[in-house]
Amino acid sequence: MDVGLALIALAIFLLIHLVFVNINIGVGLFSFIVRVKSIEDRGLEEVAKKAFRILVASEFVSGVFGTIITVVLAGLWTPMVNIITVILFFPLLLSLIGIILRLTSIVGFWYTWGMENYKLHLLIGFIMAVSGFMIPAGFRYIFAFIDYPMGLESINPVSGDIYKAIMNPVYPPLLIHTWLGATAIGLLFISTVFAFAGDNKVYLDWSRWASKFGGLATLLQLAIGPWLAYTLYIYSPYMAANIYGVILGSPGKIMLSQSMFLVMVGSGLILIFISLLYCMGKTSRTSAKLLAPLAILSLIAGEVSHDYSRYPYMVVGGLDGIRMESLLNYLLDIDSIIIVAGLVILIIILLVYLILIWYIFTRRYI
Amino acid sequence: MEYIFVQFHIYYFSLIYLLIGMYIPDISFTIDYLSTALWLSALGIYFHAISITIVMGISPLIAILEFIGLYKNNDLLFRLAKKLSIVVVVAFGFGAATGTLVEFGLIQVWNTSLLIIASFAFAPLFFELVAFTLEAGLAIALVYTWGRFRNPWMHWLITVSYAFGALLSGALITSVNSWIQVPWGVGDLVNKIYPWAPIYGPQVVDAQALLEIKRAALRITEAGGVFSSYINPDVLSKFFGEGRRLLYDPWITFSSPYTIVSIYHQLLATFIAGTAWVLAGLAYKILRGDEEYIGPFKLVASISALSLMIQGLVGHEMGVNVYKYQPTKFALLAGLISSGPDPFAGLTMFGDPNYVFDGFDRLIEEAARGGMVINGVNIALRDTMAAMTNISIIYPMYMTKISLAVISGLIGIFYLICFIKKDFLRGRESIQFILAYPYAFMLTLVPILGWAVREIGRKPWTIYGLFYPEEVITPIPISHYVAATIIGGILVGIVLMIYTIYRVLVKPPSFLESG
Repeated sequence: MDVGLALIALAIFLLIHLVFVNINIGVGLFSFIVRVKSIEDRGLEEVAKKAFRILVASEFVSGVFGTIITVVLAGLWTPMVNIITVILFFPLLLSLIGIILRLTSIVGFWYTWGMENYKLHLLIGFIMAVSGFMIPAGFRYIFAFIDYPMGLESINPVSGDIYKAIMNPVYPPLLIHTWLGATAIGLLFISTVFAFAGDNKVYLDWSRWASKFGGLATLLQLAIGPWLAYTLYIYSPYMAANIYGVILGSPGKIMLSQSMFLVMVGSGLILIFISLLYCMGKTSRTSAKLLAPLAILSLIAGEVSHDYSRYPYMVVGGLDGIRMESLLNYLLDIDSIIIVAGLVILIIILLVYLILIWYIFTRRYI
Repeated sequence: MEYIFVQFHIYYFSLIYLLIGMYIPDISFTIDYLSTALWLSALGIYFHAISITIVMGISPLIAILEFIGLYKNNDLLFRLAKKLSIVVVVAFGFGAATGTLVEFGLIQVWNTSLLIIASFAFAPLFFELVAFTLEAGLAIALVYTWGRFRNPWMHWLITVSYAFGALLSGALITSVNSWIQVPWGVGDLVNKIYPWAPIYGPQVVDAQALLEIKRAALRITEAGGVFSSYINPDVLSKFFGEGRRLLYDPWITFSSPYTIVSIYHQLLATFIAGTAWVLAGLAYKILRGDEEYIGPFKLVASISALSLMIQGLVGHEMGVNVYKYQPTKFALLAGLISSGPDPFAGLTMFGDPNYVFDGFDRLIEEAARGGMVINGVNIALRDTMAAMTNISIIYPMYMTKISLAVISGLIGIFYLICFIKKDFLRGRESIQFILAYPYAFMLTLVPILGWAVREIGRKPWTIYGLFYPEEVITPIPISHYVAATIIGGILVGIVLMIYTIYRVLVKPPSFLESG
């Protein structure tokens, strides 16, 4: 198995997953907030419902690609999965419970809409919104672990302190950064979609509202950035040098990580600027159409910057780590054509799905 | 600055440690986590099976109802198909959640299964991703495009594609389970350990490496260690790499005869259970005075009864395959502690009611005579005797299953007679509707018992003839708290699913009328 292909397959699936998962976590929160407000203003139910439709459409993509990542990891990066499932048993359990609650509450929230007992509907909506944040709360431990493998005591046999692993210092800034990012991306995505809704004042008002809080979340995310950077500097200096080297005046070896970091910060600053102007009514709704693309660009640049900074290691410990090729699956020869074919087929299905969703949402008859 | 920063982390995490420490139990708390893990896995699979039955069982039925509805311009069938499609999508949401649970259960609780996922199961699981993506993508289209195509047959194509995706997904997962039942492609490896075992297809594995892994697993487990901790880069690189592989044919799983029969058997079982549930729902409506559903009832009952007849034939083939490839399981099913005839099996399989089947006496004899000794123990003898201890569970379970299937089959025949001979019931038509309840109940119990027989019947192995559960389990103890948390999550999910389906069927929100 070629390490490059295994890495590309994982990266593509992960990036698609992360884009949609961030959108639907933020949109879920938005839909719940508007639903709460609709108790006083029934007209807002339609706004909440429309946002929720977007959530459902993106949840299917993120959920499916989450499953794909699990199979790709277990099938292509087998020893790594074993190490992670042993050391991070409890964080993964947290995500698992989050997934169960999230998926069932999404279905429940949709099909109980309009019930007499609105408090029960709100409770289901609350579970839906909160469980969305529970999922990265578990999975971000994996990223924190491969940045700084706290708790890992031995590779052979795989053993470690599962309590210590929970105390990973990279985790808190990474998680808060993720939560803020998901909130921002979801809100900015909604802001853009509602800006397409024509001159309908209600949707425009909520587009500006989403822009305001989405911009604010991005600003807070930027504020958290130094904490994350300093944590990496202390605990994972190899990664810190590769990501922040240009700024610190001592560039690391990986220019892609450093340039992507600058793209992330740059697009973040631009979108904060645009979102503030838009929410204050200084610009027309056309400017809001830039918010979602910029937010997604910032997310992709940030993930590439962070994850590629570990190269050539998969798990970084200080100034070196466990090399990627040693964590690959050597139990069978997987023909590259199988991986490429699977990748292409899945991406084609995704594109067809998105086109279909576009038609379903925008056309009365197909 | 750096010192303060690190101190802050220590302080901060001490607090979290205290909080989490209340949740994570002391390891000594757990007495037997293997048994907890087995029960937890069984529970997860059964809960997942509820949604599987609805999705895989009912989606082909929707395609049939929609087809006839369109072809005959029957609005009632069309509406029924639409309502059922919403139920299917609700169940799909829950199924995706419990499916994730089962998937994580496999890699997180039964870590050694990673060896299988990364070899024999890789191709089926990788292509299952395509089936699952198709199914998930079309789920939304299935619900939201009713009445929105200018040509309504376009929607029917979506329904058919969705059903195809669901069934393909089920078939591929069944193929993985079938490999665990019958490890096809290991050639005579299992036979070398257990002399009563047949040859499992061509040898496309590095048999020497697999045997070494088996020996290591035994040695580590018997010394009180956990084998799955040795699935790591250091150990794997000693066995594999530089052209040496565990498996040389990734497609081998698909060529197993056991797999092919299992796929037909499982898919038909879910379809029959799904149609039986719909039948019970229709009977409920009819008995409450909604007589417009009598037509759909007859249609669904006919489909269900005919499927049940076909399942009888497929079930026979399944039995033949169990006889050929899983001798201990066959002895358990037939209750054969001693070798002897099983008149029904003998007649149907060999045309001879007096045919003598091997019982545990002969299997034990063979194991004692030629079983492989590993680390000083004749494991063939030990394991064959361990398998025999399950006879008190499996035999009555299997007999109950078969009896219920036969009674259900008789009800199915009764339905067909009623529909062919119009005056058969002479004014007592309500009998057929009342019978739909026991029919659905029994056809729910049959696959539950069938799955239990399939899974418990391969014990003491997790992978038949190769690995035991204790060689596959995680080194992390599954405490009662962990089990309770997972069960709690599942219960909240299942309550939400049932409530949602109830709402959809009984009190649908007005917006559902437009999709």
